[in-house]
Amino acid sequence: MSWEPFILTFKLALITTVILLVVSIPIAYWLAYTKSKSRFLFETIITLPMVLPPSVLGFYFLITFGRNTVFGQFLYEHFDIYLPFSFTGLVVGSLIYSLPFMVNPIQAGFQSLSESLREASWTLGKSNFVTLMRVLLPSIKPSVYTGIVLTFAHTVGEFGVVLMIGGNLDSTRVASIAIYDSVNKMDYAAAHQYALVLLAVSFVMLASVYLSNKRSVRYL
Amino acid sequence: MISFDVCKTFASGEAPLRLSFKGEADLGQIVAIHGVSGAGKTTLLKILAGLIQPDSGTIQVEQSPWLDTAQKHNLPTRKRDLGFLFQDYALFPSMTVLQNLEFGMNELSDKVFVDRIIQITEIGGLLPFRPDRLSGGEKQRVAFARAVMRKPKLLLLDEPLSALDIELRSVLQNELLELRKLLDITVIFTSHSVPEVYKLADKVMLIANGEIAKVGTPSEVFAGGNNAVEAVGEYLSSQSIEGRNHIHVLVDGKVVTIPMD
Repeated sequence: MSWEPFILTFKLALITTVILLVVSIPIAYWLAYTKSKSRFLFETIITLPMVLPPSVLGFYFLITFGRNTVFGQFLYEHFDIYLPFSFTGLVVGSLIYSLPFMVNPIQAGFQSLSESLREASWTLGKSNFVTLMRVLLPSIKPSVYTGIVLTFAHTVGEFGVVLMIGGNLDSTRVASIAIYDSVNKMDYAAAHQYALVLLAVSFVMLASVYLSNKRSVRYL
Repeated sequence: MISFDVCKTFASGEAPLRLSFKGEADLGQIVAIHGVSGAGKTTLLKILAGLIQPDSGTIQVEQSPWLDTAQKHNLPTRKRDLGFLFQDYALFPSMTVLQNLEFGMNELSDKVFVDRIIQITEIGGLLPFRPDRLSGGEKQRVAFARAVMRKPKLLLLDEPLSALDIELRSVLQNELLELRKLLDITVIFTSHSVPEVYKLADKVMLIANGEIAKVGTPSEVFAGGNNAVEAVGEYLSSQSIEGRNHIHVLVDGKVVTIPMD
């Protein structure tokens, strides 16, 4: 068993989680508090990857960023960017595919808070940003933590999108692909080892979410 | 002087609900907004605070215009010099009582003043605790202290004492009067309790049919109506009358003696 697929997997999951945390907080805030009639449209688009077959997402990714398309050609010729079958491509695909796993828990957290918390902060002279950072986010820590862990775990477990976008190259072979590859080669011992590590990691992460939520219920 | 003249229409079922409020309060006055549930008392307070945007109107606090829709001027809530006590207290759950108070402080919140507020509201022993450890009355006192930390010009209290038992309500009414003396600020509070209005308010604005229908002292506003009877009833139930031959109550500005035998 090689550790390279795990290093690549956790690197991908970490980068995806950090970027999505930063991006998702303003998105979730907007979705939670906007009165815009188009909110349902944005919610649908953001949640779409949860129900979409990964192969569909991967297919459109290849179509969009491949060299045979105008956009893909433009990126390659002007910025020397070619996303299919690259680690950067995996990151972009994971960002899209895991977005709802970060946005939805944080949005639900904001919506669970009484509106008067925000209003009280404003009446105490605080801006929207200070209110978000010092009042709202600390009040929904369990939701943020849930978003972080679900996003990380979901990225670790990605298979279909990763296979479509990254293929099975040394530079893009994450742990889930390594299992698939080992099974194809009838190397069940290696597949077992990869699978056991992923199983253990997923179990620990999920258990930590439930433990954290249990503590926060007691605390609240 | 604080003056307002605002209109707000809510789409509600078949017939839209139109609210139109016009009134004024002198500096240092305690003004009660009285009316039945759903009359628009909280809406008026939130419009004054900038938390609900009216369709049209003006709000002027001393020389400072807070709202003038004709001029497209609307001072954001955070820039309005006010304190607001919410019905659900709105204490921040992730902060201790002390942190809640500190969050409400600014450069005007000197140590002597802060210590005095903590002393008046009797929350010194609660400072290390989070709100989930406090009783309703304790939360109310902390929220009250937090609302006045910045020494605001205008203090808005939304049903400040409604969730409390009669004994605690009386204690907090006295605290409010003491704080008014200390701060010399204008207080506008909503209440559906006539005795509370009698005890606290210099002036009452009675809301009915979506507008301020009557303005005056409590005695002027409640004169002759069933409210006077209600006031006596609630007052009696709030007093310890055991072993007394009679009590004195104020009804419509006159002292009335009621025998207890």
